Amino acid sequence: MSNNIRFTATIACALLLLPLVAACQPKTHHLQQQDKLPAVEALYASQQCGRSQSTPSLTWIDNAQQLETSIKQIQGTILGSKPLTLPELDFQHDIALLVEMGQRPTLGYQIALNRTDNLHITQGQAHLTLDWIQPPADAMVAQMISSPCLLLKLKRGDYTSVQIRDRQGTIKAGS
Amino acid sequence: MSGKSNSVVPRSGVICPVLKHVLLLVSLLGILSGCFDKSGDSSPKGATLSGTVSSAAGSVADSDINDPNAPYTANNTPDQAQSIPNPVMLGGYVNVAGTGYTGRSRSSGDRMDFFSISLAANQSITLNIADHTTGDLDLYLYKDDGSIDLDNPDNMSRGTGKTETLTVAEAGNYIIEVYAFNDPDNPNDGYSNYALVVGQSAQNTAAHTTGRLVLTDPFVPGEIIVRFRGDNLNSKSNQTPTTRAASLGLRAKAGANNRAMLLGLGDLQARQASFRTLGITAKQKDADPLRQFRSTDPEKQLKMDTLQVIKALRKRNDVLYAGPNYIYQAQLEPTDPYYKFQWHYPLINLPGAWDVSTGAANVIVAVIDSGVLLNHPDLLGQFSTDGGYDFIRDNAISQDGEPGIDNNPDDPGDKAAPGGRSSFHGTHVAGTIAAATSFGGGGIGVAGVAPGVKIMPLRVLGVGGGTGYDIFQAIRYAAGLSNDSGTVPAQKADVINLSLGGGPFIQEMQDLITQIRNDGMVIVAAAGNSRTSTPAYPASYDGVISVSAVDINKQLAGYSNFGSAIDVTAPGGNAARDINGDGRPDGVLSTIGDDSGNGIKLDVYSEYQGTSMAAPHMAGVVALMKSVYSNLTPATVDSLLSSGKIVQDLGTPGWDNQFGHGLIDARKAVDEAALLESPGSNPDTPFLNVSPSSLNFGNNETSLSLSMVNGDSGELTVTSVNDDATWLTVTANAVDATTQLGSYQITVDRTGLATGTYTANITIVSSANTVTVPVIQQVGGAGISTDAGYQYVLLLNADNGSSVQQWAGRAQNGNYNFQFNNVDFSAGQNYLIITGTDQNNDNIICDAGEACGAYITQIQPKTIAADDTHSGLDFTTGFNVGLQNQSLSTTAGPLRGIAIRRLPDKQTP
Repeated sequence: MSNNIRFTATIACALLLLPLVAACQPKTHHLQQQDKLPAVEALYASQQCGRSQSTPSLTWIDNAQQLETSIKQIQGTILGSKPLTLPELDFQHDIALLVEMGQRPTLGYQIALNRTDNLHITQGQAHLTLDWIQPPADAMVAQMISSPCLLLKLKRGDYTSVQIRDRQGTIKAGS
Repeated sequence: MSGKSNSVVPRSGVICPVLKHVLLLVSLLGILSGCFDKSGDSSPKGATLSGTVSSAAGSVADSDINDPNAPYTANNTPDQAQSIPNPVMLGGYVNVAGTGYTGRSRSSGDRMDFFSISLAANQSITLNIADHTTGDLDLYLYKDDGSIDLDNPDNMSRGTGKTETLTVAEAGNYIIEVYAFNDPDNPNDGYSNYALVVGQSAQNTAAHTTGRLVLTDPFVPGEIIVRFRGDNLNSKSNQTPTTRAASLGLRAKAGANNRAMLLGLGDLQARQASFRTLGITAKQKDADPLRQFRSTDPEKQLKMDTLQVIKALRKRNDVLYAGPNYIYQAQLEPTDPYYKFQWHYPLINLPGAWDVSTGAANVIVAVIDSGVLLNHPDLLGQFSTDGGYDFIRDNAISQDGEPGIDNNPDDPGDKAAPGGRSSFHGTHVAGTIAAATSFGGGGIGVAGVAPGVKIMPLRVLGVGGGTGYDIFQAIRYAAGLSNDSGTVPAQKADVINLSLGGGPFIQEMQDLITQIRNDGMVIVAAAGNSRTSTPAYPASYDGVISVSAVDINKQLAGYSNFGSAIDVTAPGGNAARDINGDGRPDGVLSTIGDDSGNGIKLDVYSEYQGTSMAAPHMAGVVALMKSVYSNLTPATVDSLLSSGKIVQDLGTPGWDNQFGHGLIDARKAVDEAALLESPGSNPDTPFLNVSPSSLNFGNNETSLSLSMVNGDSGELTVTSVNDDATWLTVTANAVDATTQLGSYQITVDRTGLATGTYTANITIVSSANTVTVPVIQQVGGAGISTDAGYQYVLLLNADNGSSVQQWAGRAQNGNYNFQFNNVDFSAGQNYLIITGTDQNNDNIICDAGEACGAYITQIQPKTIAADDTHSGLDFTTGFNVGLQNQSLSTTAGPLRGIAIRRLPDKQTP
């Protein structure tokens, strides 16, 4: 490859990165508890996230490498699919959480972020309420093994761990 | 270069995708590093990082690569052939003189690499060409009898694509040649890295794939199918096929302009004229003439010449397609590219069934499910004329934007919120039953069990599942009974597949099932995934064929229901394992969609597991039976099942509560159907069917199972089972006392064995035929005298991706002991350690075909900080020869994306 082509390619990549660079702001303080609560945003959800254990799990993701590894896991080995594209995360201000329900016997199980009052922080721990959906007992469901998950983005705040509860208040997973 | 940022350089090549993303992110971090708060850190300066890079098992490097720093031993002739172990993953480089990067062989050329190897019968040799746009590499195989004749190879693969593959006909010592073809029209091309793979994966290579030109494939010697590009037609000249063929020294035998023509080679004199016209005899710039193959066998000679002409035709701008005139014989094997991953079809003896029938278009299978992606390229044209129906009444479940029920059974997905991915369960089920399948070359995606039949898509499942009422309506529609749609199909379905379950017994549903069964419809349902014997419905209704699930070893899947209602079993898969070593999970592979981005991507496939996947195997086989014997009734199917005539008996002899009457056997099923259609037409042709066809214990497995069944009807007895290795033991596990058919346990004992690779054969002799199962195992982490070549171990600044230090050197007993001194952690730096080879000497490691590794692994590279451990940083390097190199995905070509530039100053060990 000629230097010219290499230079052009480098410039092209740099241009792609300009929005990220422009987004850089002077270092800000982490949000304090008295500030508004950290925003929670769902990034991705699926019923097929590749977990082979039946137990739920929660993965705290605070760098880009971990995120890539998690995406690789949850996207699985689909032939012909496009790489998963997610909104950019600024790990200086955000973390990601991968919440996994564990392997389930059928479809119809999902984890969802549907409430607005879903996050509380006490004593350095964030308590996040999610919809832990399972099919009604008498529902007709597809007889395919599933492993639901939900990938979330959270603003950093005065917490160092996260606990996941369902709407009934049952603790499902913690970091 | 030290201290500078790495270049981000898109160009051809492949790198581990995860590592690529990590490095891209590292680069991003570097650009954004000015935003970061670099707090003061009193971490020590001058730290030492050390560790050992070990070579992945079976890794071998070509001994004469372009990198002048690497050790050199010529392997340019058969006499110089480099000895390599089996199995092996070898990274190499060849180039025609004057092509490629500056380095050891740029000027003089390194056109041929020869390797000496001992091969087992039926092993595959795969050459992955790193960049086939710069180097058209070919693969030749010679039996090593001490007098190698380079003009007369025993087998050759001279395609024009990204891979060349050969299959070994018989065990013995061989010479493998990798050869750089030089296109006379593109004299600057003729170089590439490559990865040569032997025996590691049990690849079931699909014949006649695009670009493939293999001498031993069955094709008519001297005949070529050609289609010329229409835009190059000179209409004013009024060229006829005859004149057009004559202009190439060929003879037109059939066909016409603007469609495929059948052309023929002439006699020896005419062939030489054709060679001259096509430039085959042109001299290369290094005065090396293109190879002329000569054999004393006239037919073999003609086949060699045919391939030679085809390869030359493919280089011409006016040729759209050129290929052999293949001879197709029973037994039919699909040529769809992903068929080789559908282990679940040979497991039920399906290829044998396709010899009898691939399905009739007047047979309809209703798929009562989540709907189907009607525009999936593997399902277009596979639907019944009525078009199906959407019976979901609840809009919250349906989410198709069309209130209530409607006549559009297209599946809009079942994700609960945007940003996720839907299952497209019904599409997967429909694909298993009747995905479009090609038996005559080409094809897309996957194969279906009964590709000739039609699917009636009926949508009843959406977000969170569905309701019994909607399913009730769909069943009535399929049966041609009045229903809420107000319509009935012009032709009712012959088979109903229900890959769903839930809810209690309902008498009305039982009555409906009894009614439509009495009317001749066969109903197949998934037994359920709750690993319980509690009856699940609809599978447990009287009159429904309840299907449990087995894995690739014909063991009941861990999730499968069992119990008194089970009638039969079929492949449901276990996606957590890869027993056959094809690089894919052992789930059931079929059609799906991907709606995780904008819209729905349709040409997508994945492995799912469950009794949902088992049921459509049975439904497809019933459809094949119905195609052969139109008077097939549910009672007939029941009778054939209970008699054991259409199953492979598993578990307790006869019926048992795990497998029912046994594993459905498609060949037996269509044979019995043919016998019913024409009594006396189907003589018994028993044959021994052994699966898996090969066993790969790697260096971890100690016990695997082998299944031996009668592939057809008639009496068959296993008379002996022998192996030829002291470390191998074959034990009867669940075997019929009379026939000795059944399940055998194969164990290996590595005690006392030296590090290395071991092969053996298990020979099973039956009253009909003899089957040999090759076995391979490895002892120790590395093979005999193997390593991953001359490595460049780089210390990268994890914050900005720049190369900080480099260790370079050759292996000592397969290991590379590296050390980085004076590593600066004073400003809170983090580091990554990456290693790789540079066979093409472009100063960039980890290109396609080059070895690559990262601490801890490529999948999970770990940053090293001041307070982390700084010694014992051990990891593995090896050649990346996985599926990513085979480019089965729809991407047009490989991209390296990130260049990991090695440093010019190298330390020596």
